[in-house]
Amino acid sequence: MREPTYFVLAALLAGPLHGYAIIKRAEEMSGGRVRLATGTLYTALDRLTAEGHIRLVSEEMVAGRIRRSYGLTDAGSAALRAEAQRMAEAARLVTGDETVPRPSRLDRKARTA
Amino acid sequence: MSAGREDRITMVERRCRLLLRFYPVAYRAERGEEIIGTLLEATPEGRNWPLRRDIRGIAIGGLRARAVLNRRNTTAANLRVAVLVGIAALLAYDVAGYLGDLVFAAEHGGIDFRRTHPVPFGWPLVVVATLLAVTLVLAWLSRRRVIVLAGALPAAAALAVAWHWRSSGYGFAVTDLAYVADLAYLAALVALAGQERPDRRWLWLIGPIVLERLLLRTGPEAIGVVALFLLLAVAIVSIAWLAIDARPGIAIVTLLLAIWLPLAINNVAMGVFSGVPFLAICAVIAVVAVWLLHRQSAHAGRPTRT
Repeated sequence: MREPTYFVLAALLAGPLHGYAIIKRAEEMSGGRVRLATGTLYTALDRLTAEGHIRLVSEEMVAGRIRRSYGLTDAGSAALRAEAQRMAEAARLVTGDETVPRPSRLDRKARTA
Repeated sequence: MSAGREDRITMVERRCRLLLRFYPVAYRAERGEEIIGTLLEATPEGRNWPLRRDIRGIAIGGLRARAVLNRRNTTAANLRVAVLVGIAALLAYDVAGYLGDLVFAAEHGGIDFRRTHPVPFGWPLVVVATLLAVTLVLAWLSRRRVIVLAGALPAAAALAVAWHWRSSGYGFAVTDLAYVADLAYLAALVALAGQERPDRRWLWLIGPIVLERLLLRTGPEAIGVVALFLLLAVAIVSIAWLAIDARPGIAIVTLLLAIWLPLAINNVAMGVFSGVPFLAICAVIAVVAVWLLHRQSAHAGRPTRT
């Protein structure tokens, strides 16, 4: 999973967000490192929707324009957790930090799904 | 809200809409307003253009969305449309040539419609041009092969008559080959018609080709050079576009191969091989373009991205 995709999914962990809110949340969560361009965001949203990782939650009209909010699906949550676990394991190989939890059997299943 | 701020938002919005044209029409209709809303929110106060990274992102995202369009169809369906456009462009190119001859003849001594043979210009070629144009319109508008065939048969008959008169003392071998080739292209047009039909957006490719031919035949020399650059520009754009959508490139290569093949065959028969490298380059581009089209098209087991 590419980093922008990871942070798009992570931004939606706390609940559904619209496009610009996803950009801001991803930037905050990454400490300013991931600054999603608008075009990149919508390419990612299209792909993640097609893969079933996110879904359209609501539509509203704001200043005469449609604003859509997106939320994580169960498959999206599982994929995000599996990716986080994979990165944690990779980090432990280098840092040797045993406080990072080892993957459960359930997480391993989700990763291979 | 102050008038100045409103003006700025209007200006930024106008530029956002301009940027949005990177996306295909259907995508803009579905998501355009949503993307503009996000772009406007992401543009800091005081700026008249979106951020550079947003401009780049919209350009790349739009081109990706265009590339995804082909994935709705199989390789065969996409290839049929591309070749159909190439052959339609070729026949439109011929019709424009005949029309150019008509204008040229009118300007230099008049048209003698009583002449049965088409040199310098008589009624057979007027009939050929008209029937070819009718067949092209039918192929463009109708999904029914029988209708295209109804247009193509009289056009083929007119071509055969014009060919007969031309070859009986007025023509050259290369001209004979061109007539035979036109008959073959008419047959291909009928064979390809009735399935996937190209939409009117393809006219961006055919329009300049027709214009080039007309300008080359009827305009002064300087305009002729401009016309050639126009055709070159269409060819360069189509080839540069291969990675996004290989169909325009295949259409152009079909057109170039169809124009050059009869000439090259004739030249090779006379021991002149100067056109062969150009044909080889076209053939290589065609192979690469078909390979790219296959990668861009729908395959069983690969999810269709929207």
